[in-house]
Amino acid sequence: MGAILAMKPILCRPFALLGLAVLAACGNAPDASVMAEIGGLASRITQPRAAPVDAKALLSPQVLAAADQPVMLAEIPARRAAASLIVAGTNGSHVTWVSGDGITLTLQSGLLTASRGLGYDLMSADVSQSLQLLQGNSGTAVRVHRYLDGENQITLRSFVCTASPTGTETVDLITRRVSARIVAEHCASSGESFTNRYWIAGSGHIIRSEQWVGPETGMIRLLRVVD
Amino acid sequence: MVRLTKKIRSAMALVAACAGFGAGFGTATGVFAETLTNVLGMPGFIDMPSAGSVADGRLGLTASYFAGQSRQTLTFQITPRLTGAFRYSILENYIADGQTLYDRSFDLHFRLFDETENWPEIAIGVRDFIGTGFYGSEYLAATKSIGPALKFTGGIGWGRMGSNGGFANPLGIFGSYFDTRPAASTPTGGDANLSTLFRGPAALFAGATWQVSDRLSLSAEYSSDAYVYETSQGTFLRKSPLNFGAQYSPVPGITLGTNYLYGSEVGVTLSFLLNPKQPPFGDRSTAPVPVRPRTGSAAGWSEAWVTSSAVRSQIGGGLAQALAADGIVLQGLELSGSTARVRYQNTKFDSSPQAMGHIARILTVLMPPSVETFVLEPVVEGMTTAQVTLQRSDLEKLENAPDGSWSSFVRARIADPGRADDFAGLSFPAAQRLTWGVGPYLSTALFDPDNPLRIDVGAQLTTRYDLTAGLSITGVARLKAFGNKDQSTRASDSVLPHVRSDAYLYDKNDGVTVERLTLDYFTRPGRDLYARLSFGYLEPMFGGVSAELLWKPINSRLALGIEANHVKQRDFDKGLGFQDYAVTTGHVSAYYDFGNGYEAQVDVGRYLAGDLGTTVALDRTFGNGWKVGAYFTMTDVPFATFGEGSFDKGIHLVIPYSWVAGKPGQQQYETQIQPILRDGGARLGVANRLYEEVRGDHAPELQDQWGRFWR
Repeated sequence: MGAILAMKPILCRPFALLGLAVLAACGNAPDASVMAEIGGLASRITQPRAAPVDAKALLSPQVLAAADQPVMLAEIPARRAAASLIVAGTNGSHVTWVSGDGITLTLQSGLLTASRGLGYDLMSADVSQSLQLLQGNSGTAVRVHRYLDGENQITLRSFVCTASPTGTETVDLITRRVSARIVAEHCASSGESFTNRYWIAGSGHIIRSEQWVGPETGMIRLLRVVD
Repeated sequence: MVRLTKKIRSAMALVAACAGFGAGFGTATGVFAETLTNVLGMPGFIDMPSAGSVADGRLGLTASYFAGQSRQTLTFQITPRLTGAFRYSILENYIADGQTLYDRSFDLHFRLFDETENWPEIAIGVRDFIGTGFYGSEYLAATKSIGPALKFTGGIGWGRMGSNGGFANPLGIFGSYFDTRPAASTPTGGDANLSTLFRGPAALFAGATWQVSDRLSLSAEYSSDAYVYETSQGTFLRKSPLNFGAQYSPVPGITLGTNYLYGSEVGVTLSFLLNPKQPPFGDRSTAPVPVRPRTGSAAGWSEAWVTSSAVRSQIGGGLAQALAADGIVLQGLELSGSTARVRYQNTKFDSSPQAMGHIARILTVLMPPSVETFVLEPVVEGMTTAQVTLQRSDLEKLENAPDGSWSSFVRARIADPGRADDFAGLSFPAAQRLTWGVGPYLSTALFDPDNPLRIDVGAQLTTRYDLTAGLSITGVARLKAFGNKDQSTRASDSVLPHVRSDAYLYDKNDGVTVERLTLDYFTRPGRDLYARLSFGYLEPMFGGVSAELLWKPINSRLALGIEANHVKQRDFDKGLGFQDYAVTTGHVSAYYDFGNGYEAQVDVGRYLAGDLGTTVALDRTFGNGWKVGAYFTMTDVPFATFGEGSFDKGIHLVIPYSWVAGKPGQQQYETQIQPILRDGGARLGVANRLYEEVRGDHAPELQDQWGRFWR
């Protein structure tokens, strides 16, 4: 009765201790990996900055043509990082996408409402009024973002937003090109302001967007490559 | 001329050792967004204080040197208005025959009034109010900023700060008590010099600072400290009361300062600053599994599956695997048609609600739709510490709700399962009874006048064997790679049994040392109660038997405990032998969590040297696991018998590894800084006292950390 748990592999990772010596942290205890993580940080800090990744180069048209599930491309310019994501789950009107390295983004009708694994994550966002704005209603919307502070307490940032159309553009989705109208959502609070941009196809779906995650991460660019 | 002798270098090495640690910390907006600190690490410009406070919770380590005085100060912003400091000063040629004075002192600084458009901020402070009184001074300072870049300070000082151009004490209007100032009180030092505060002549001081840029500031000061003792000893020539200084912060968290002091001396300052509220790397842990909502309607969710033991087994196996991938060890699963009761051990997350959130989401994926209620029971050392009941429909609704965090907390039911021996489900024996780890260790010995900082570095092996639930054997062994702790020759002159003052003799063994080897048994005698029994080599200096009982209701901020130990002093080689000295010690303890980050602990009982007394500890805790606190112990040992320092006191620091790494983890670095290590008020070191083991799963802590439930 009961499952046999897989034996945890012994993790041995070298790391430098105050630059004095190289010692290995080994063991099958779960905490051995935290120590190695700290040691790995030193090398991470001194690593040269990676060259910017061309997000679209991650996916070739052949791979995309054969894809039988929705694929989204995400890019964070401030970090020079990009990844492709697939759907991990759907809960009501919220869709959660997951990348290969375990980062998730949750979108409600194309608007980002949560991230996990980015560091300084967007814990939740109330974008219901912003969604109404994008459906062509004029006026202002109030957006509320929630984050975890350094002491694990939920903190709020609220913004007052207005939306305005800013033209049309044909979006290159690698395997096809779709024309979309662009709507800019400008949001401001007493301390911060940002502008999200959404490329909305004729079907009403947001096929491309640039959305603000938070002060530390900045903007994230999303592209719905495969629907 | 700045001459750094070997002793000064090693003392400043204490600060410089943080170099790799300090870089990259501090606020992203630059250090001068906050109040400037002076050579003493306290709010001020150069040598005099200013009235501000630094950011709440900020920890600073400042080393400064001028004219043979080297001062290392650890400062902490205890509350938004109260700053505290512990200072270790090395003063060369300060005693008549050319000897060096090693001084430890404590400061407090309190901001009384905030700055407004027309009025300055005002603060009151005491320097060296516990200690020999060498730096003893008190002050009242007012600081006003003009525009964004200029600040002006003026103030009045007493004691040492009342020595330059001193005049009759204005407080003399309250009585002749204030007109004279007696010499510093206790011959053994270490006691609070409360009878000298604000007495004697007073003098004025002033200062100005110009923040040139984000990183650079320039200051000038008129000092009220005449350095009477130093000038009479001839250690430096005080030509003028004016000081000039510059401070530069190359990266947030590090500040370099240089000063031209008293018309004749050049001084240097190095500061490392970090704020526990600002982790350097954020939380980079990978995302949890998303909630899988159920499809269809409740009517269609049959409970027939629960009768099949094969199905239950299969669910259990799948759950064990899924949880193991997330660092959770499944210990038991009790299934009914509508309820899943999960007993688990959290080995990965330092935040208990985060573990619960991960488990809850995995349950939504794996449990058949008829299971509506999830009961989570975390297990620590074989004891079930809590019972948290969640409804699956709440999880489905709240995963993406904007206020999902608070809503999920108020809907969770937190209860104490008590003895919890009514579990009737599948149990999952641990696949690995033996866990082990090898890693580096660093241990320090501080404040020996021969060498204020000694460090040993080596390898540490930790092994643990779990015999049954609650019964385990743990061993910690160390092998020194290199270090100079064994060079200490300062023998103890204590007249009490040498229970701690022979610590240096325990550092002489170059081979493998046994730090700890114990058989531990934990159990829950009943509701609100937890019990521990430990037997073996409990700590590096003592071994024996230790028993503890803790009363801690799951919703309570108050806990009470009682502990009794009978131990013998171990051999100096930290092997398996014992010396002759044996003692029975024990305490009655009260723990109180004030909420908002402050905690207190009071212990009353018998200490290792046989003395009776009380320890009072106050800690500031942060939601991320950081702890900064101070304690003192008063026993029936007279100050003269205790010796230098008068009574035991110290600073307690806990740094969670997860804060540094940005990923969850349960290891932490814990240290105690004691200005003087003597034999009065010494408590037995036990690694796994109950309060810290169980509190993480109790309601006050769960509420505090619940922001991580959906993380």
